[in-house]
Amino acid sequence: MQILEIFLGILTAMGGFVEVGELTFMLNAGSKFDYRLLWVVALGTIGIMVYGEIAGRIAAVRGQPVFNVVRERAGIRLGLLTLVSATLVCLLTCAAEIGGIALLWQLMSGLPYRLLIALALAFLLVVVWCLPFKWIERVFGLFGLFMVVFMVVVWMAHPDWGAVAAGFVPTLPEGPTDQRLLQSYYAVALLSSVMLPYETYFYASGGIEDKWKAKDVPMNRVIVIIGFLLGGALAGSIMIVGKSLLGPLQIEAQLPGTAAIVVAMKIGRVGMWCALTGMFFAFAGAAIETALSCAYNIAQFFGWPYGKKRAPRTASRFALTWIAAFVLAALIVLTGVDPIRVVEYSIVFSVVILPLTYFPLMALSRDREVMGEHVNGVLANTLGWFYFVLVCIVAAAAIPLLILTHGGEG
Amino acid sequence: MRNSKRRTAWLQGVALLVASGACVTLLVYEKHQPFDQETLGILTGQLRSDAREARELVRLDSQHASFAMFTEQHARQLGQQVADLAKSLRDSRALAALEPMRRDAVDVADGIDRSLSNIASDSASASAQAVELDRLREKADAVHRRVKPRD
Repeated sequence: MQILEIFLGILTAMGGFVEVGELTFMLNAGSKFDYRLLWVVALGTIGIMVYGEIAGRIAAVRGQPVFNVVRERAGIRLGLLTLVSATLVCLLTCAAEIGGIALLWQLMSGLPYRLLIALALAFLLVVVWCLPFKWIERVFGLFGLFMVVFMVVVWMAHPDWGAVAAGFVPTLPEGPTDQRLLQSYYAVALLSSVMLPYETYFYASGGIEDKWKAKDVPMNRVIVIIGFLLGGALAGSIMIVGKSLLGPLQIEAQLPGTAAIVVAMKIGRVGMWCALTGMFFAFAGAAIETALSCAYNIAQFFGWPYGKKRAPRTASRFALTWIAAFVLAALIVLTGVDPIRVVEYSIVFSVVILPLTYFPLMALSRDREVMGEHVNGVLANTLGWFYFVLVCIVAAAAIPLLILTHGGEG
Repeated sequence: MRNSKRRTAWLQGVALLVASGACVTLLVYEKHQPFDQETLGILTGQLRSDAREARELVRLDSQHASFAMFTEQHARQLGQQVADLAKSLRDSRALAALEPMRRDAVDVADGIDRSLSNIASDSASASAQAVELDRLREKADAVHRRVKPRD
């Protein structure tokens, strides 16, 4: 039973790894910079493994979710700042995912975009209201595995594997100043898209929902390491696809349909349907995770009763918050803003709040008095501090790079 | 102690307002500046990408690697993007030396938009648009090369 649980957990982590912003950033990074930014994907994947493991371990050992730790360790003021920033970023990401779903449905139905936003909102509300937590996790994570079609495209595109391997060696940006700035911007955005903070919030909250105990610490480690490794491989594949198929045509992906076109170039109509299906489940999964993360974070910070397993009447503020998050997110895209631009900005702003989330997690997980035998080992401490310093540097560089590259345009 | 905290809070609030105001002023100022090589190059680069994507969409349709609804609706979404691009190009002038390129880019964008509108209303017309899209793709390439010869 435990092995099945681990196996499904790994597949769910992999299937839920990619969302609309990560998809377009990966394709465009491959198209613009060949394999030169693959090392950033690897770096980000190890980073999300490190902090996912820490957050999951704290949830298992202490039964404490991320924002409870943030409030305890960062205090009310800094904690509140983190909460507000995290909620805004989750809301923007959720808005982009809803917009992405509407764009996908439009490709398949031809119905008006705004009507499809309303239908996507209704669909998400019904799904989260009716399905138990485990089902939500599994259905969207497992069907998101249709995204594996991008790995098949890589295999069919016969990339130069020597050049792919060379892409994992960190290099400094090359070329004229504007190109170097753009490459640096992409490096920051890719790192942020792989390490999106909501993944940590949702993962730890999921551990609490599933009532993890200290005995589940090894399971947490296996799921995080293998699941995120496979998710990172999927993200890397999308970058390779961007290099192999969009790069030669000098096409920049700005719509989800472009990703389906890339797959159709190699696998035809069947591949296109697989890509559309995979993207739908991936975007819907991310929309649900971000909306629920808003509710989890706020409830955990203020000490409200929370959880998908509770009946809405016993956790009414939690239920109202995730409903409000979905409605607000849908209203954002109903204004007509481009969902891809929204998610690009939200990804860049996400990196700014990463240090605020990671520091309290590090502070608690290395405290032997509270973690006992499950305190950070040498590896977790070294990697944890390394990534904390890294995200601080990246956070400081993110906004200036966004401005200098005209919003990442060039 | 309380006064000092209140003063700090006020200072932080005023600093935030000043910083936000500066950002908004900078954005408004940038928006009203004529296109220079860098900013026009961003738009012509997008135009080149859109022209090539439109051509690829038609190619996939002719090879039955796509389905009719997808071809029509992706053409519609891409067309909306090109129409927005054309509006951005129309809304500001460029520096004198770049003005002919800006006008050419507007013409190319309008042409791509028309072709995509035809495909969006009937995917059966996609193959008929292939020649026109080839011509527009070449023009988009040429405009972008004139603006940014290095690309």
